[in-house]
Amino acid sequence: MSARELLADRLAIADVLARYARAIDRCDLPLLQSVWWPEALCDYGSGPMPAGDWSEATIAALRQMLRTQHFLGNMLVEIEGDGATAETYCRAYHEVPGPEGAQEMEVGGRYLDRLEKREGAWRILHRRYVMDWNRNGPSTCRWDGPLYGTLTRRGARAPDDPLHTGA
Amino acid sequence: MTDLAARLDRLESRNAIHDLASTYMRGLDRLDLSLTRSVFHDDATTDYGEGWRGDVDGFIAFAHEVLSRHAANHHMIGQVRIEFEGDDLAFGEVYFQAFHRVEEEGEPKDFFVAGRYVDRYERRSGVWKIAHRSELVDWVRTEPAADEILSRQPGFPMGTRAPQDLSCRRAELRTR
Amino acid sequence: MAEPLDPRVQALLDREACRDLVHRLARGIDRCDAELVRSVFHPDATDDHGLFRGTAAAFVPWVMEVLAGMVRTQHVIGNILIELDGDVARGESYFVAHHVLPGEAGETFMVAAGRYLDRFTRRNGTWKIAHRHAVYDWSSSAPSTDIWDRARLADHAFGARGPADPSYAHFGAG
Repeated sequence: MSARELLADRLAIADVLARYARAIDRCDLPLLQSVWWPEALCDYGSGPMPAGDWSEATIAALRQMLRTQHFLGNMLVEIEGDGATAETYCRAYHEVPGPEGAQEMEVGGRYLDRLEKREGAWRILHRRYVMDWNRNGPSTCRWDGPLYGTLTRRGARAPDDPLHTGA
Repeated sequence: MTDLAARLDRLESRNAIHDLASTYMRGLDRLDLSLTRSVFHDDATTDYGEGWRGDVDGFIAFAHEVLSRHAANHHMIGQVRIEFEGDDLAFGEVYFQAFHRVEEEGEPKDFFVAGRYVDRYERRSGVWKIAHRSELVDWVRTEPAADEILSRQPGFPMGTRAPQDLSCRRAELRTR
Repeated sequence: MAEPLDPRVQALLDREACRDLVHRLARGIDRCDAELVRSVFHPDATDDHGLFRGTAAAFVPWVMEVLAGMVRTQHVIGNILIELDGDVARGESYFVAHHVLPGEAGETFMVAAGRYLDRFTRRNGTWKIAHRHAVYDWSSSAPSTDIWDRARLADHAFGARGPADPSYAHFGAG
Protein backbone atom coordinates (compact mmCIF):
# COMPACT_ATOMS: atom_id res chain seq x y z
CA MET A 1 0.00 0.00 0.00
CA SER A 2 1.31 3.44 -0.85
CA ALA A 3 2.00 6.04 1.80
CA ARG A 4 -0.55 8.31 0.21
CA GLU A 5 -3.18 5.58 0.33
CA LEU A 6 -2.45 5.04 4.02
CA LEU A 7 -2.94 8.74 4.75
CA ALA A 8 -6.17 8.84 2.79
CA ASP A 9 -7.45 5.78 4.65
CA ARG A 10 -6.62 7.32 8.01
CA LEU A 11 -8.49 10.51 7.16
CA ALA A 12 -11.45 8.50 5.87
CA ILE A 13 -11.57 6.54 9.14
CA ALA A 14 -11.44 9.75 11.21
CA ASP A 15 -14.32 10.93 9.05
CA VAL A 16 -16.41 7.86 9.92
CA LEU A 17 -15.93 8.60 13.63
CA ALA A 18 -16.82 12.28 13.14
CA ARG A 19 -19.95 11.25 11.22
CA TYR A 20 -20.90 8.97 14.11
CA ALA A 21 -20.60 11.83 16.61
CA ARG A 22 -22.55 14.20 14.39
CA ALA A 23 -25.33 11.63 13.95
CA ILE A 24 -25.59 11.11 17.73
CA ASP A 25 -25.53 14.82 18.56
CA ARG A 26 -28.02 15.75 15.85
CA CYS A 27 -30.21 12.63 16.48
CA ASP A 28 -29.85 11.79 12.80
CA LEU A 29 -30.75 8.11 12.43
CA PRO A 30 -30.05 7.72 8.68
CA LEU A 31 -26.59 9.25 9.19
CA LEU A 32 -25.96 6.97 12.17
CA GLN A 33 -26.96 3.91 10.13
CA SER A 34 -24.47 4.98 7.44
CA VAL A 35 -21.43 4.45 9.67
CA TRP A 36 -22.04 0.69 10.11
CA TRP A 37 -21.79 -2.22 7.69
CA PRO A 38 -25.11 -4.13 7.62
CA GLU A 39 -23.82 -6.98 9.81
CA ALA A 40 -22.02 -4.67 12.26
CA LEU A 41 -22.17 -5.45 15.98
CA CYS A 42 -21.69 -3.02 18.82
CA ASP A 43 -21.29 -3.49 22.55
CA TYR A 44 -21.77 -0.49 24.84
CA GLY A 45 -21.84 -2.64 27.96
CA SER A 46 -24.98 -4.70 27.61
CA GLY A 47 -23.51 -7.27 25.25
CA PRO A 48 -22.99 -7.32 21.49
CA MET A 49 -26.03 -6.37 19.47
CA PRO A 50 -26.76 -5.49 15.85
CA ALA A 51 -25.58 -1.92 15.38
CA GLY A 52 -28.70 -1.08 13.35
CA ASP A 53 -31.03 -2.04 16.23
CA TRP A 54 -28.80 -0.28 18.73
CA SER A 55 -28.90 2.88 16.61
CA GLU A 56 -32.71 3.00 16.55
CA ALA A 57 -32.99 2.50 20.31
CA THR A 58 -30.22 5.01 21.02
CA ILE A 59 -31.66 7.81 18.89
CA ALA A 60 -34.99 7.35 20.70
CA ALA A 61 -33.18 7.58 24.06
CA LEU A 62 -31.16 10.63 22.97
CA ARG A 63 -34.36 12.44 22.03
CA GLN A 64 -35.32 12.29 25.74
CA MET A 65 -32.19 14.31 26.56
CA LEU A 66 -31.94 18.07 26.21
CA ARG A 67 -28.60 18.16 24.37
CA THR A 68 -25.39 16.21 23.88
CA GLN A 69 -21.92 16.87 22.56
CA HIS A 70 -19.57 14.01 21.71
CA PHE A 71 -16.11 15.51 21.56
CA LEU A 72 -13.53 13.30 19.87
CA GLY A 73 -9.85 13.52 20.65
CA ASN A 74 -6.85 11.31 20.11
CA MET A 75 -7.15 8.50 17.64
CA LEU A 76 -4.74 5.61 17.15
CA VAL A 77 -5.29 3.59 13.99
CA GLU A 78 -3.62 0.50 12.63
CA ILE A 79 -4.42 -0.24 9.01
CA GLU A 80 -3.81 -3.56 7.35
CA GLY A 81 -5.10 -3.87 3.81
CA ASP A 82 -8.85 -3.31 3.85
CA GLY A 83 -9.13 -3.72 7.61
CA ALA A 84 -8.39 -1.26 10.41
CA THR A 85 -8.30 -1.26 14.19
CA ALA A 86 -8.86 2.04 15.96
CA GLU A 87 -9.02 3.52 19.43
CA THR A 88 -10.71 6.94 19.66
CA TYR A 89 -10.98 9.04 22.83
CA CYS A 90 -14.30 10.74 23.54
CA ARG A 91 -15.53 13.23 26.12
CA ALA A 92 -19.32 13.19 25.95
CA TYR A 93 -21.56 15.82 27.50
CA HIS A 94 -25.26 15.16 28.13
CA GLU A 95 -27.87 17.46 29.62
CA VAL A 96 -30.88 15.47 30.76
CA PRO A 97 -34.19 16.57 32.28
CA GLY A 98 -34.91 15.48 35.87
CA PRO A 99 -37.53 15.99 38.57
CA GLU A 100 -35.26 18.48 40.35
CA GLY A 101 -34.21 20.31 37.21
CA ALA A 102 -31.78 19.51 34.43
CA GLN A 103 -28.74 17.40 35.27
CA GLU A 104 -25.46 17.31 33.40
CA MET A 105 -23.58 14.12 32.85
CA GLU A 106 -20.12 13.95 31.35
CA VAL A 107 -18.59 10.65 30.33
CA GLY A 108 -15.02 10.00 29.28
CA GLY A 109 -14.41 6.85 27.32
CA ARG A 110 -12.98 5.25 24.26
CA TYR A 111 -14.37 3.60 21.14
CA LEU A 112 -12.56 0.41 20.17
CA ASP A 113 -13.50 -0.14 16.54
CA ARG A 114 -12.79 -2.58 13.79
CA LEU A 115 -13.43 -1.06 10.41
CA GLU A 116 -13.46 -2.47 6.92
CA LYS A 117 -13.07 -0.92 3.50
CA ARG A 118 -15.48 -2.21 0.88
CA GLU A 119 -15.55 -0.79 -2.65
CA GLY A 120 -13.48 2.14 -1.44
CA ALA A 121 -15.69 3.06 1.55
CA TRP A 122 -14.76 2.62 5.21
CA ARG A 123 -17.41 1.68 7.78
CA ILE A 124 -17.45 0.14 11.23
CA LEU A 125 -17.81 -3.62 11.50
CA HIS A 126 -17.43 -4.03 15.25
CA ARG A 127 -17.47 -1.57 18.13
CA ARG A 128 -16.77 -1.92 21.82
CA TYR A 129 -17.17 1.07 24.08
CA VAL A 130 -14.86 1.41 27.10
CA MET A 131 -15.85 3.70 29.99
CA ASP A 132 -13.10 5.66 31.76
CA TRP A 133 -14.76 8.29 33.98
CA ASN A 134 -17.96 10.19 34.56
CA ARG A 135 -19.01 13.39 36.24
CA ASN A 136 -22.54 14.27 37.30
CA GLY A 137 -24.37 17.17 38.88
CA PRO A 138 -27.08 19.77 38.52
CA SER A 139 -26.77 21.53 35.19
CA THR A 140 -25.16 24.96 35.37
CA CYS A 141 -26.07 25.59 31.75
CA ARG A 142 -27.38 29.12 31.39
CA TRP A 143 -28.03 31.24 28.39
CA ASP A 144 -28.02 34.77 29.78
CA GLY A 145 -25.43 37.20 31.12
CA PRO A 146 -22.72 39.23 29.43
CA LEU A 147 -21.02 36.33 27.65
CA TYR A 148 -23.62 33.62 27.13
CA GLY A 149 -26.39 36.10 26.41
CA THR A 150 -24.74 37.07 23.15
CA LEU A 151 -24.27 33.47 21.98
CA THR A 152 -27.66 33.17 20.40
CA ARG A 153 -26.96 30.64 17.66
CA ARG A 154 -27.48 27.38 19.47
CA GLY A 155 -27.15 23.79 18.48
CA ALA A 156 -30.26 21.69 17.91
CA ARG A 157 -31.17 18.30 16.57
CA ALA A 158 -31.66 17.57 12.86
CA PRO A 159 -33.36 19.07 10.93
CA ASP A 160 -33.48 22.16 13.16
CA ASP A 161 -29.75 22.61 13.72
CA PRO A 162 -28.36 25.68 11.94
CA LEU A 163 -26.14 23.17 10.12
CA HIS A 164 -29.26 21.96 8.28
CA THR A 165 -31.38 25.11 8.23
CA GLY A 166 -28.58 27.47 7.24
CA ALA A 167 -30.08 29.99 9.67
CA MET B 1 -4.78 17.25 -12.76
CA THR B 2 -4.16 13.56 -12.98
CA ASP B 3 -6.12 11.35 -10.61
CA LEU B 4 -3.05 10.89 -8.43
CA ALA B 5 -2.29 14.60 -8.30
CA ALA B 6 -5.94 15.35 -7.50
CA ARG B 7 -5.92 12.94 -4.57
CA LEU B 8 -2.70 14.36 -3.18
CA ASP B 9 -4.12 17.86 -3.58
CA ARG B 10 -7.16 16.78 -1.56
CA LEU B 11 -4.99 15.45 1.26
CA GLU B 12 -2.95 18.64 1.38
CA SER B 13 -6.11 20.74 1.28
CA ARG B 14 -7.60 18.85 4.22
CA ASN B 15 -4.44 19.40 6.21
CA ALA B 16 -4.34 23.09 5.36
CA ILE B 17 -7.98 23.59 6.34
CA HIS B 18 -7.50 21.67 9.61
CA ASP B 19 -4.56 23.98 10.36
CA LEU B 20 -6.79 27.04 9.86
CA ALA B 21 -8.97 25.84 12.75
CA SER B 22 -5.99 25.26 15.06
CA THR B 23 -4.30 28.54 14.15
CA TYR B 24 -7.54 30.43 14.80
CA MET B 25 -7.64 28.96 18.33
CA ARG B 26 -4.00 29.66 18.97
CA GLY B 27 -4.63 33.31 18.13
CA LEU B 28 -7.53 33.53 20.60
CA ASP B 29 -5.66 31.79 23.41
CA ARG B 30 -2.46 33.79 23.09
CA LEU B 31 -4.50 36.96 22.52
CA ASP B 32 -2.62 37.32 19.25
CA LEU B 33 -5.59 38.31 17.14
CA SER B 34 -3.56 39.12 14.04
CA LEU B 35 -2.93 35.37 13.92
CA THR B 36 -6.66 34.70 14.15
CA ARG B 37 -7.30 37.35 11.48
CA SER B 38 -4.82 35.64 9.15
CA VAL B 39 -7.00 32.55 8.65
CA PHE B 40 -9.86 34.62 7.11
CA HIS B 41 -10.18 36.02 3.61
CA ASP B 42 -10.46 39.81 3.67
CA ASP B 43 -14.11 39.75 2.64
CA ALA B 44 -15.05 36.89 4.98
CA THR B 45 -18.31 37.02 6.91
CA THR B 46 -18.86 35.81 10.46
CA ASP B 47 -21.83 35.07 12.71
CA TYR B 48 -21.39 34.69 16.47
CA GLY B 49 -25.01 35.32 17.37
CA GLU B 50 -26.06 38.65 18.80
CA GLY B 51 -22.51 39.42 19.95
CA TRP B 52 -21.25 39.89 16.42
CA ARG B 53 -22.57 39.34 12.93
CA GLY B 54 -20.67 40.84 10.07
CA ASP B 55 -17.26 41.33 8.57
CA VAL B 56 -14.08 39.81 9.90
CA ASP B 57 -12.47 43.03 11.17
CA GLY B 58 -15.54 43.64 13.29
CA PHE B 59 -15.28 40.11 14.62
CA ILE B 60 -11.62 40.62 15.57
CA ALA B 61 -12.54 43.80 17.48
CA PHE B 62 -15.39 41.94 19.21
CA ALA B 63 -13.15 38.99 20.11
CA HIS B 64 -10.48 41.31 21.49
CA GLU B 65 -13.00 43.14 23.63
CA VAL B 66 -14.40 39.89 25.07
CA LEU B 67 -11.14 37.97 25.53
CA SER B 68 -9.04 40.79 26.95
CA ARG B 69 -11.40 40.81 29.94
CA HIS B 70 -10.57 37.14 30.62
CA ALA B 71 -7.58 36.00 32.63
CA ALA B 72 -6.98 32.88 30.52
CA ASN B 73 -8.48 30.87 27.68
CA HIS B 74 -8.09 27.35 26.32
CA HIS B 75 -9.96 26.52 23.12
CA MET B 76 -9.82 22.80 22.46
CA ILE B 77 -10.70 21.38 19.03
CA GLY B 78 -12.15 17.93 18.54
CA GLN B 79 -13.32 16.35 15.34
CA VAL B 80 -13.07 18.33 12.11
CA ARG B 81 -15.32 17.32 9.22
CA ILE B 82 -14.52 18.75 5.81
CA GLU B 83 -16.55 18.23 2.65
CA PHE B 84 -15.27 19.44 -0.68
CA GLU B 85 -17.28 20.85 -3.57
CA GLY B 86 -14.84 20.99 -6.43
CA ASP B 87 -11.18 21.84 -6.03
CA ASP B 88 -11.41 25.27 -4.37
CA LEU B 89 -14.52 25.20 -2.18
CA ALA B 90 -15.13 23.27 1.02
CA PHE B 91 -17.51 23.21 3.96
CA GLY B 92 -16.59 22.23 7.49
CA GLU B 93 -17.87 21.47 10.95
CA VAL B 94 -15.36 21.86 13.80
CA TYR B 95 -16.18 20.75 17.37
CA PHE B 96 -14.78 22.87 20.20
CA GLN B 97 -14.79 23.08 24.00
CA ALA B 98 -13.59 26.41 25.34
CA PHE B 99 -12.45 27.42 28.80
CA HIS B 100 -12.58 31.04 30.01
CA ARG B 101 -11.37 32.24 33.41
CA VAL B 102 -13.45 35.29 34.33
CA GLU B 103 -14.31 37.38 37.35
CA GLU B 104 -17.95 37.63 38.30
CA GLU B 105 -18.97 39.76 41.28
CA GLY B 106 -15.36 39.70 42.40
CA GLU B 107 -15.15 35.90 42.37
CA PRO B 108 -13.04 33.87 39.91
CA LYS B 109 -15.27 31.64 37.79
CA ASP B 110 -14.69 29.10 35.06
CA PHE B 111 -16.94 29.58 32.02
CA PHE B 112 -17.16 26.70 29.61
CA VAL B 113 -18.66 27.08 26.16
CA ALA B 114 -18.83 24.09 23.86
CA GLY B 115 -20.12 24.01 20.35
CA ARG B 116 -19.20 23.88 16.73
CA TYR B 117 -17.92 26.14 14.01
CA VAL B 118 -19.74 25.74 10.74
CA ASP B 119 -17.50 27.10 8.01
CA ARG B 120 -17.10 27.76 4.32
CA TYR B 121 -13.54 27.61 3.04
CA GLU B 122 -12.35 28.96 -0.30
CA ARG B 123 -9.01 28.55 -2.01
CA ARG B 124 -7.94 31.73 -3.74
CA SER B 125 -4.58 32.13 -5.47
CA GLY B 126 -3.65 28.74 -4.10
CA VAL B 127 -4.34 29.58 -0.45
CA TRP B 128 -7.15 28.10 1.64
CA LYS B 129 -8.81 30.50 4.09
CA ILE B 130 -12.13 30.84 5.85
CA ALA B 131 -14.75 32.69 3.78
CA HIS B 132 -17.51 32.30 6.36
CA ARG B 133 -17.59 31.15 9.98
CA SER B 134 -20.66 30.67 12.17
CA GLU B 135 -20.31 29.69 15.80
CA LEU B 136 -23.01 27.37 17.18
CA VAL B 137 -23.20 26.76 20.91
CA ASP B 138 -24.17 23.30 22.16
CA TRP B 139 -23.68 23.63 25.91
CA VAL B 140 -22.36 26.03 28.50
CA ARG B 141 -21.43 25.71 32.15
CA THR B 142 -20.23 28.04 34.91
CA GLU B 143 -18.33 26.87 37.97
CA PRO B 144 -16.54 28.66 40.78
CA ALA B 145 -12.78 28.41 40.20
CA ALA B 146 -11.33 25.35 41.92
CA ASP B 147 -7.73 25.24 40.77
CA GLU B 148 -5.95 25.21 44.12
CA ILE B 149 -4.44 21.75 43.62
CA LEU B 150 -2.22 22.93 40.77
CA SER B 151 -1.95 26.68 41.28
CA ARG B 152 -0.54 26.32 44.80
CA GLN B 153 2.32 24.19 43.47
CA PRO B 154 5.37 26.42 43.21
CA GLY B 155 7.01 26.47 39.81
CA PHE B 156 4.01 25.05 38.01
CA PRO B 157 4.40 25.94 34.32
CA MET B 158 1.28 27.97 33.61
CA GLY B 159 0.47 29.23 30.12
CA THR B 160 -0.01 32.88 29.34
CA ARG B 161 -0.65 35.21 26.41
CA ALA B 162 1.79 36.17 23.63
CA PRO B 163 4.63 37.05 23.71
CA GLN B 164 5.35 35.72 27.22
CA ASP B 165 3.98 32.22 26.62
CA LEU B 166 6.72 29.67 26.09
CA SER B 167 5.26 28.70 22.70
CA CYS B 168 6.12 32.23 21.50
CA ARG B 169 9.72 32.20 22.81
CA ARG B 170 11.20 30.63 19.72
CA ALA B 171 14.86 31.35 20.54
CA GLU B 172 14.50 29.56 23.86
CA LEU B 173 12.67 26.65 22.24
CA ARG B 174 15.53 26.00 19.83
CA THR B 175 17.88 24.99 22.60
CA ARG B 176 15.57 23.54 25.22
CA MET C 1 16.80 1.78 -0.70
CA ALA C 2 13.22 2.59 -1.51
CA GLU C 3 12.47 5.25 -4.07
CA PRO C 4 12.22 8.67 -2.38
CA LEU C 5 8.66 9.82 -1.89
CA ASP C 6 7.10 12.88 -3.42
CA PRO C 7 8.13 15.63 -0.94
CA ARG C 8 4.50 16.70 -0.55
CA VAL C 9 3.51 13.19 0.52
CA GLN C 10 6.57 13.04 2.76
CA ALA C 11 5.54 16.27 4.53
CA LEU C 12 2.08 14.87 5.19
CA LEU C 13 3.61 11.65 6.51
CA ASP C 14 6.03 13.56 8.76
CA ARG C 15 3.18 15.50 10.32
CA GLU C 16 1.21 12.30 10.76
CA ALA C 17 4.18 10.64 12.48
CA CYS C 18 4.50 13.52 14.97
CA ARG C 19 0.76 13.52 15.67
CA ASP C 20 0.93 9.78 16.26
CA LEU C 21 3.69 10.24 18.87
CA VAL C 22 1.52 12.67 20.82
CA HIS C 23 -1.43 10.28 20.73
CA ARG C 24 0.70 7.28 21.66
CA LEU C 25 2.24 9.09 24.61
CA ALA C 26 -1.24 9.92 25.93
CA ARG C 27 -2.14 6.25 25.61
CA GLY C 28 1.06 5.22 27.39
CA ILE C 29 0.28 7.52 30.32
CA ASP C 30 -3.38 6.51 30.63
CA ARG C 31 -2.56 2.80 30.51
CA CYS C 32 0.52 3.25 32.77
CA ASP C 33 2.51 1.54 30.03
CA ALA C 34 6.14 2.51 30.78
CA GLU C 35 7.45 0.78 27.66
CA LEU C 36 5.07 2.69 25.42
CA VAL C 37 5.98 6.00 27.07
CA ARG C 38 9.69 5.26 26.69
CA SER C 39 9.24 4.27 23.04
CA VAL C 40 8.10 7.72 21.91
CA PHE C 41 11.25 9.47 23.21
CA HIS C 42 14.75 9.44 21.75
CA PRO C 43 17.20 7.85 24.23
CA ASP C 44 18.70 11.26 25.14
CA ALA C 45 15.38 13.15 25.17
CA THR C 46 14.45 15.60 27.91
CA ASP C 47 11.18 16.50 29.58
CA ASP C 48 9.97 19.53 31.52
CA HIS C 49 6.69 19.15 33.41
CA GLY C 50 7.50 21.96 35.85
CA LEU C 51 7.37 19.56 38.79
CA PHE C 52 9.80 17.36 36.90
CA ARG C 53 12.76 18.54 34.83
CA GLY C 54 15.22 16.06 33.46
CA THR C 55 15.82 13.27 31.02
CA ALA C 56 12.98 11.28 29.52
CA ALA C 57 14.68 8.17 30.93
CA ALA C 58 14.17 9.59 34.43
CA PHE C 59 10.73 10.99 33.56
CA VAL C 60 9.32 7.52 32.91
CA PRO C 61 9.75 6.10 36.46
CA TRP C 62 8.81 9.50 37.94
CA VAL C 63 5.54 9.69 36.04
CA MET C 64 4.74 6.03 36.70
CA GLU C 65 5.05 6.69 40.41
CA VAL C 66 2.83 9.78 40.17
CA LEU C 67 0.27 7.75 38.21
CA ALA C 68 0.38 4.93 40.76
CA GLY C 69 -0.91 7.44 43.31
CA MET C 70 -3.97 8.12 41.14
CA VAL C 71 -7.01 5.95 40.50
CA ARG C 72 -7.32 6.61 36.77
CA THR C 73 -6.57 9.20 34.12
CA GLN C 74 -7.72 10.16 30.65
CA HIS C 75 -5.67 12.56 28.55
CA VAL C 76 -7.76 13.88 25.66
CA ILE C 77 -5.72 15.48 22.87
CA GLY C 78 -7.26 18.20 20.73
CA ASN C 79 -5.78 20.70 18.29
CA ILE C 80 -2.25 20.01 17.11
CA LEU C 81 -0.14 22.51 15.18
CA ILE C 82 3.06 21.12 13.70
CA GLU C 83 5.82 23.05 11.96
CA LEU C 84 8.23 21.00 9.91
CA ASP C 85 11.84 22.04 9.43
CA GLY C 86 13.70 19.21 7.78
CA ASP C 87 14.54 16.61 10.39
CA VAL C 88 13.19 18.80 13.19
CA ALA C 89 9.54 19.53 13.91
CA ARG C 90 7.86 21.59 16.58
CA GLY C 91 4.40 20.84 17.85
CA GLU C 92 1.85 22.47 20.08
CA SER C 93 -0.80 19.97 21.20
CA TYR C 94 -3.79 20.93 23.31
CA PHE C 95 -4.85 18.53 26.04
CA VAL C 96 -7.49 18.15 28.71
CA ALA C 97 -6.38 15.60 31.30
CA HIS C 98 -8.90 14.01 33.65
CA HIS C 99 -7.61 12.48 36.89
CA VAL C 100 -9.38 10.58 39.66
CA LEU C 101 -7.43 10.95 42.92
CA PRO C 102 -7.94 8.80 46.00
CA GLY C 103 -8.66 10.37 49.38
CA GLU C 104 -9.83 9.39 52.83
CA ALA C 105 -13.01 11.42 52.44
CA GLY C 106 -13.68 10.02 48.95
CA GLU C 107 -12.24 10.45 45.49
CA THR C 108 -11.47 13.78 43.83
CA PHE C 109 -12.03 14.50 40.15
CA MET C 110 -9.27 16.80 38.93
CA VAL C 111 -9.04 18.27 35.45
CA ALA C 112 -5.80 19.84 34.25
CA ALA C 113 -5.63 21.31 30.77
CA GLY C 114 -2.90 22.91 28.76
CA ARG C 115 -0.56 22.30 25.89
CA TYR C 116 2.38 20.08 25.16
CA LEU C 117 5.20 21.92 23.42
CA ASP C 118 7.22 19.20 21.75
CA ARG C 119 10.37 19.15 19.69
CA PHE C 120 10.41 16.13 17.42
CA THR C 121 13.51 15.00 15.58
CA ARG C 122 14.01 12.42 12.87
CA ARG C 123 16.97 10.12 13.26
CA ASN C 124 17.67 7.21 10.95
CA GLY C 125 14.30 7.83 9.33
CA THR C 126 12.31 7.62 12.58
CA TRP C 127 10.52 10.53 14.25
CA LYS C 128 10.58 10.64 18.04
CA ILE C 129 10.22 13.27 20.74
CA ALA C 130 13.51 15.02 21.63
CA HIS C 131 12.01 17.41 24.19
CA ARG C 132 8.61 17.78 25.79
CA HIS C 133 7.48 20.78 27.75
CA ALA C 134 4.06 20.74 29.39
CA VAL C 135 2.36 24.12 29.85
CA TYR C 136 -0.84 24.35 31.88
CA ASP C 137 -3.72 26.70 31.08
CA TRP C 138 -6.41 25.73 33.60
CA SER C 139 -7.37 23.21 36.21
CA SER C 140 -10.30 22.39 38.40
CA SER C 141 -10.91 19.84 41.11
CA ALA C 142 -14.02 18.76 42.97
CA PRO C 143 -15.29 15.72 44.86
CA SER C 144 -15.90 12.87 42.43
CA THR C 145 -19.50 12.42 41.30
CA ASP C 146 -18.85 9.09 39.56
CA ILE C 147 -22.02 6.96 39.56
CA TRP C 148 -20.71 3.70 38.12
CA ASP C 149 -20.65 0.66 40.37
CA ARG C 150 -17.81 -1.04 38.53
CA ALA C 151 -18.07 -4.29 40.49
CA ARG C 152 -21.73 -4.74 39.66
CA LEU C 153 -21.62 -3.70 36.01
CA ALA C 154 -19.78 -6.83 35.04
CA ASP C 155 -20.80 -6.73 31.38
CA HIS C 156 -19.49 -3.21 30.85
CA ALA C 157 -15.98 -2.52 29.70
CA PHE C 158 -14.14 -0.14 32.01
CA GLY C 159 -10.77 1.42 31.39
CA ALA C 160 -7.87 -0.17 33.22
CA ARG C 161 -4.14 0.28 33.54
CA GLY C 162 -1.85 -2.15 31.73
CA PRO C 163 -2.81 -5.15 29.61
CA ALA C 164 -6.13 -5.63 31.44
CA ASP C 165 -7.51 -2.70 29.45
CA PRO C 166 -9.66 -4.01 26.57
CA SER C 167 -7.62 -1.99 24.08
CA TYR C 168 -4.65 -4.36 24.38
CA ALA C 169 -6.65 -7.35 23.16
CA HIS C 170 -8.27 -5.01 20.61
CA PHE C 171 -4.92 -4.14 19.02
CA GLY C 172 -3.77 -7.73 19.43
CA ALA C 173 -0.79 -6.83 21.62
CA GLY C 174 -2.11 -8.00 24.99
